[in-house]
Amino acid sequence: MKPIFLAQLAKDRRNPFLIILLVVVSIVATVLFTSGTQAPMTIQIYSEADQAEAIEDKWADLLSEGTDMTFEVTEADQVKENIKQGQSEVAVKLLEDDYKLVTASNTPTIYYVEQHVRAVFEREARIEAAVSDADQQGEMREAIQTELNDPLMTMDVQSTSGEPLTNYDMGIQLMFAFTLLVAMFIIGFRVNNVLKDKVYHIWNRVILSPVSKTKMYAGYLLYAFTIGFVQTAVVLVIFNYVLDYDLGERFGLVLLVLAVFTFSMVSVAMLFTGFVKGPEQFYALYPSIIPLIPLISGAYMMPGTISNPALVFIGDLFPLSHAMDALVDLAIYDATFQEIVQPIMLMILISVISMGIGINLVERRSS
Amino acid sequence: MWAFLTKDLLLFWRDRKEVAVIILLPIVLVVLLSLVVPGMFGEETSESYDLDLALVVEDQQDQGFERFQEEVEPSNDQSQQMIDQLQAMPPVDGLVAYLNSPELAEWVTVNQMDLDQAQTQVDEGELDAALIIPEHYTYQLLNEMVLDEPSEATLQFQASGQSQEVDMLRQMIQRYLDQINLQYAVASSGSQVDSANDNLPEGGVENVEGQSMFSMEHYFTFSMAALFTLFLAATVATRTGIEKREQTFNRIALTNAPPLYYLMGKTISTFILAWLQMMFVLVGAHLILGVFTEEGPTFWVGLIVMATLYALAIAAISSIMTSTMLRVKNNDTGDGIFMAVVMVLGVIGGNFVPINVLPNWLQQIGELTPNGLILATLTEWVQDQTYSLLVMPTVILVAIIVTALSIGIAVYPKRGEQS
Repeated sequence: MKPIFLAQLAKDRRNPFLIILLVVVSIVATVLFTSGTQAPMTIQIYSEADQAEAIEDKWADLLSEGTDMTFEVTEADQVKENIKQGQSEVAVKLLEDDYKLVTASNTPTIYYVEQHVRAVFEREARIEAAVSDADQQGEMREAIQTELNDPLMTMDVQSTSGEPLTNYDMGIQLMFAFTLLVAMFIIGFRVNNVLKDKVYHIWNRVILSPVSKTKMYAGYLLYAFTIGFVQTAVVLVIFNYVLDYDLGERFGLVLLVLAVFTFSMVSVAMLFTGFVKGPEQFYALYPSIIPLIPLISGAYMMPGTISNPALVFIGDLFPLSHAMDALVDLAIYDATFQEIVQPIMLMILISVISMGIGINLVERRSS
Repeated sequence: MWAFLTKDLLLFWRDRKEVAVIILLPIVLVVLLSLVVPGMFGEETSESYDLDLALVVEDQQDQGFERFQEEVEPSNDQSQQMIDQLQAMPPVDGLVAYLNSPELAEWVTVNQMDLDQAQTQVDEGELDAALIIPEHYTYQLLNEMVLDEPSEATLQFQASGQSQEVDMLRQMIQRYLDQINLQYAVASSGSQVDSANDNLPEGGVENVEGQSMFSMEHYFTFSMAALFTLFLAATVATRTGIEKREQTFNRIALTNAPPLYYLMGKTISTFILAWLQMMFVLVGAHLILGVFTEEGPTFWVGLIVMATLYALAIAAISSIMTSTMLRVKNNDTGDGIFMAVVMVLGVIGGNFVPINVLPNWLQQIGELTPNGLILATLTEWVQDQTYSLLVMPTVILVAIIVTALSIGIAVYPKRGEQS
């Protein structure tokens, strides 16, 4: 087992380019995307009415109140150009006391923006209506505003134990998603070494040596596991200690989940190996299918976004969704070991099954 | 040269299962994505969502009123009037009625239960959230409303964690509260609430200059077509590794066929495959999802012209990759580089995530990649079929084709250079 493991490792030692590249890629991609999604959404507003500037000024202030969206007054032509080319999704055209959302697509974002804009305009319309009959409009408006700042009926959002509800940090989830995505790629490419050594007839020569079949597989798989685990662990350590992401209090457990995930992904890659003919075919199919898994598992979206039972079922067949569950629980809700036992068990189950079928298929093909 | 082209096409044909998967995968993806992403909001909310809310009423509304009446002798008529008004339309009843209203009932199930039961079920994940109306809520509310005494009374919204569902429920309740608060604010300032909705803004969504809509399905179709065709370039180059390993290439070098024919065979076969793939995805998406049902012949002409140019650009890029593959010593290095190049192009071209997520400077670079360019161009083409829109992209694509092909030929190993 050891010589095989070392022999595989020697390949990477001589050619470390790929691994370093993937570590860098997963960090850069994560930072790039999380900064993109974390930044407050900027929505361009404009008016084509007679007193455009007055209208723009009035609503720009009102709209920006109490939301993390930013509303930015922009030239009408510029806005339309941006929308058409897909550089911004939605803009608001202001009328004196009405609005139109301007867009070229029907994406979910529009729903969010509409909710907010509508609420602001309705509130303003009601206040306007109430004030219009009064003698001292300014004072009355102020009175209403003061009353609104200290609302009558309020609602506390909290967890069932009465603590404030942990703010869901989408950035952390995305960070895990990208790290694991890159990990899936790198693990697959390492497992692909089995196929490569087969086509170069190294596999046959090793079979002739005193090394047993079990030890052979163990060597290859341990190698893929080590590379995958070290790569992801390095990325997460960098995020936790250098870039100061908050990965929860139990970093040890994070690493444990990572190890189980790596192991079960090695198995899934092994299963994949059983299906394909050669290393080139693996290169063609594996990278096309892997990017689907996080999509189906909902790793890029808020939890609960994907509710279609068929898709949830397909997503659950892969270790990614369970790993995401466990990691998010650990990082955001500071889960204990007991709480993440279930996803870990499921991942181990997936490993055992796919490893069993995978090795079987590889063996059949070779005979 | 025909011999080489035939050879490459034959090689693909022998691996038709793999090729079929590569060509069909993007269609599957487009259909899947179209199922997953839209329909979460807007009109279809009611159908696709089934939220469960526990309602815990610990407040005793009638007792609250009685206690308030006993303790506080209404100081004047105005207060008494206010109390009467409130008794006619008690706030807690209003909230409960709102939660049980028919329009919410379509997508929210409200179950009234006691606190322990609610919390257990929320923790176990059977319910999405619980709304708790605490003890003496009405009484404290009355104190604040009538006597202007600040009270601590507040509703509690409990959930086990944040999620899409929890957020929707919270917003739904908050909307009602905002409305009540506004009414109260207006009323307490001495004016009347205009309950007629005459003056409410109409709102609405409108299109840029009345052009046709660009939907998520369009985006998925274009981005997946562009992305997987890009993958194809890397796949072809990777397969060159087989011919290197099996000495096919060395044997070809020994024949008296001009060496570049080998490269041309690869490039042209890539073009054919890339073009077929583009067509499969575009036509497939149209047939399965009806993505382009509203478009006329003009649209299709432009679409096919751009798809053809894109397929040519991809073929030209694959020629660089093939030449590189013939030069590198270790096939793994080549595979690694191609994978990285394809991923980077895919990301900055906006094929993995919509381009508006990326920072501005990256968007600019992204439009120079062939895949980003085709995506942006087709995005605009769907909305507006003016031929002048296609001029610039055509020029850029032709430039990419010529440059990439020249580089591919220049890098192609000369006599004795291949490894």
